Amino acid sequence: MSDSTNNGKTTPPAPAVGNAFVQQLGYFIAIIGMLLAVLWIGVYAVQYYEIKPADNAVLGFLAITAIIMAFAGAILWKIVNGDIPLVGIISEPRFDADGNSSKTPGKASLARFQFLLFTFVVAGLFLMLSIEVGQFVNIPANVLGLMGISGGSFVLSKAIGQQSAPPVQPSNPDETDTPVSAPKK
Amino acid sequence: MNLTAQDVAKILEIALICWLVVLAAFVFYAVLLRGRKLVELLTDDNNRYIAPERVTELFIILMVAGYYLLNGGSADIIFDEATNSYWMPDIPQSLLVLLAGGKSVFLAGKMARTNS
Repeated sequence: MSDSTNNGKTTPPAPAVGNAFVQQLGYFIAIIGMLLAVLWIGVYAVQYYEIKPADNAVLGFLAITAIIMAFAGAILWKIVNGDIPLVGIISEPRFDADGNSSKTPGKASLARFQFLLFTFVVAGLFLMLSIEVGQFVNIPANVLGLMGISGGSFVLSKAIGQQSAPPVQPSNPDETDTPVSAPKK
Repeated sequence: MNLTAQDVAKILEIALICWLVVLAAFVFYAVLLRGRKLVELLTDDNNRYIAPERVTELFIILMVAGYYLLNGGSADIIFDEATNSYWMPDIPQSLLVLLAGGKSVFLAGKMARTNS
């Protein structure tokens, strides 16, 4: 039995050679196994329960629905968890002296607010009307113009805001490079 | 199987609507969380005073969004027989011009304050 202690100090165990390869091989085998299991269940169901091709389509549709809803659920879960923060959704991003984005939201932005509002109104109506008639509805040119004006003014407002933003100050002034043309005191 | 593709589509439809409603609730809760600072929507970039062009702009935005929401929700869907397709309710040209004018004033004010 090997002892991993040396003069009372614990040495970390050496990493196993090819550990990552074995892990990836395990994943690969698990995926192949699951695919074979699904295939076997499908063949068994077709043989013994007389499943028609239309039923296969429904099963496939159910699987796609489950995947879409899993993605949707994951997004909501991340919002609840705080991984997707919404607190600063209508705020301009704030940067610290090093140029890194700060966690505290900046000033509330009217351009962001109107973009959010119009997106919800138009997208919500589009979804509701599409569901009502059972097919995608066309969007009139004026509504597209509304979204265009909204998005365009948002971008312009952002550009003007960045123009007026104070220059980023480095955290340590000693580390700044002195320009060649700067007068020496 | 008794389940048809239409049933699955109905399930997906209801689930998507529920998801959108929950998402909208989260977003508006997040906006309301910042309620104490919502007045910042009306103040200039340095939060010194209320900017009149922002007040005008906010009023126009709420008016256009409210009009389209109420009109779009209550109006009949337009069916185009030529293309055999449905259309969302249109928005009047005058409202679009009003919105564009409000935006122009807002951006001009923002630019003027930036340069001064």
